[in-house]
Amino acid sequence: MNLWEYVRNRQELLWFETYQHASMVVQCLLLATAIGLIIAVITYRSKTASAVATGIASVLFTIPSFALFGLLIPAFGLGTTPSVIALVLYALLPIVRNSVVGMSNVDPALVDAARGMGMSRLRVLFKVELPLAWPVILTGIRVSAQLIMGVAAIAAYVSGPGLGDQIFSGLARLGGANAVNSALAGTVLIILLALVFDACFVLIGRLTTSRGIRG
Amino acid sequence: MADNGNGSGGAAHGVEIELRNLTKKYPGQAKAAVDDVTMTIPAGEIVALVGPSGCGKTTTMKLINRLIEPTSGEILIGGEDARRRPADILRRHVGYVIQQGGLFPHMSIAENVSLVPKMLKWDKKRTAERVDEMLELVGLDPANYRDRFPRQLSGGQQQRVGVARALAADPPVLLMDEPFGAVDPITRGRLQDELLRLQEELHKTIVFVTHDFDEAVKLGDRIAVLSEGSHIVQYAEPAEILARPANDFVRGFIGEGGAMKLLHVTRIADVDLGAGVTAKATDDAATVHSRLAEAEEPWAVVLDKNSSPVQWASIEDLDGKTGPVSEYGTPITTTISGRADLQAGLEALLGSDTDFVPVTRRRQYIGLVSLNTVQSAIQQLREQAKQAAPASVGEGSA
Repeated sequence: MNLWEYVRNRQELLWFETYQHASMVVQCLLLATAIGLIIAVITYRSKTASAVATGIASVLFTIPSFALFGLLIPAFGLGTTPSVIALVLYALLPIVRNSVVGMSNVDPALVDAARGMGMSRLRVLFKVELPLAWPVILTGIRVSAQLIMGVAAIAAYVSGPGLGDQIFSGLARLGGANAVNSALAGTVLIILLALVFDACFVLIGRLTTSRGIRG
Repeated sequence: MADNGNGSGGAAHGVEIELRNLTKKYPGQAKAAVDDVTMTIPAGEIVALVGPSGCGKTTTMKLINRLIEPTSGEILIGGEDARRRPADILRRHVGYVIQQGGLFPHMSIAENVSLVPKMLKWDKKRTAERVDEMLELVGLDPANYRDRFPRQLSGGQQQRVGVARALAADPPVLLMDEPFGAVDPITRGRLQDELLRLQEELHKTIVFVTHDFDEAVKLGDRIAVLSEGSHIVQYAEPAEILARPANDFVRGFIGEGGAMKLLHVTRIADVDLGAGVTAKATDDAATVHSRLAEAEEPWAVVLDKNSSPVQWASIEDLDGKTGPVSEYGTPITTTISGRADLQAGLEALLGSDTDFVPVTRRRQYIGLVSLNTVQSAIQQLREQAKQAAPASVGEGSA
């Protein structure tokens, strides 16, 4: 059986796993964006605090993904929970770092002008700082998306959802029937998914960035 | 104050600002950034705060809208303690203009201008009308500029939008922090002229921070010269500071050419002009000739029926001639308005091939300005300053 026939035969399963993969990545990204933005908003005004935040995120980032999944098993068992936790932790670094950089690069004179015309701190944050930092923040989210797209495959190691299952079961049965097809199908689909996501980010960027600051 | 008064016509005139023993000390610094400043900024006037960088002039200004909270002392705006209201609320009633306008690049021009009215919960229609009115006020066609973004505008235009934004909610008080510092000299001159024109209409109380003494002279009804710790070295009208600087510090700040700057603050109509010999266009040449001879003047100014100066008639041209004097004159090419300053008068004199330039008020002849006129005017200003009460130092002459 060649790859094409393999895919045709297991169409339904592959569709389902692709959907699961995409859905997990999107949900983890949303969670990581929310957490990352909160961390950035709390820390960006202080050089020390933001350095500590990006430092911690960097350390998490350097843990090999395989090891991280493994380390999460004792605490959270198998399945979706450890997968989501690991993906969110990986996605945090680019988001936190870009958010901090984006917001601290907002011209202080603009913040001064905003305060001077009577905007509250919160209004300055939502009306001035976040919109101006948005293109940089979005780039961070985009990088995270690409990153966890691949890492999500390893979630299969802790019996997580997604296309990783194809790869892992294929690799485990190497030499057996359809082993290579299975691993290949999983890999190719992840690559395609990553390309689709990237295209979506370009679109989101255009739709959500003010014409006044679009490059 | 005018929080939601009339939307049209910029109705809120300026109110007095009073600073009482205002001090700002930052923790860990021995010297106060602003040290016990007391001054009164009269309603409807432009007061320029000038001083070297780091003297605390910007800090002093930011104390007024509480972008910086004072360590001690009081600020009264229109007789009301500025600390009675929450700082954010106070600032919505105090216009604030910074260098380059401080426009938000991600918002359209209309969005920028409408920010404060929106915070004051003006309704949509009134806000939109106000935006157009403000853009017109600063000389930008609303239809053309409303939906543009700041980066599509020149520096000077951005600065104008900055002023429009600060004036949008019709605040009685305007704080301007070196607003024209980042534009080229020609644009700066034009923006300064425009600010003066606006002020003639609006009568706001404007605190204008600058390190450029010439700008202070041009714009300020009063100038406060500040030294370190925002100490007021001299607080007086520009002419007085120029004619009688309080000490060497002020003298150093005025720099070279104090007399030239004095020319800048004196209107031609306010000095003693030469009357000259005038003639109506229909006067007989012979009569004018004898009047010139009698007055020992070489030239007569021929006026038309509206009293506008139109021709020069020299004594030689008229010699032995008869008939209407207008047949022998040479056209007057240069005249100057009495509202112009003496420096412009001097320019006109240097650019003209005659020793005199006719001065007009609403096109009507009021006299002649000559190099002599300028010189004696300066001497007179110096004399006046000397005779005036001792130069106002410290808390000012208000």
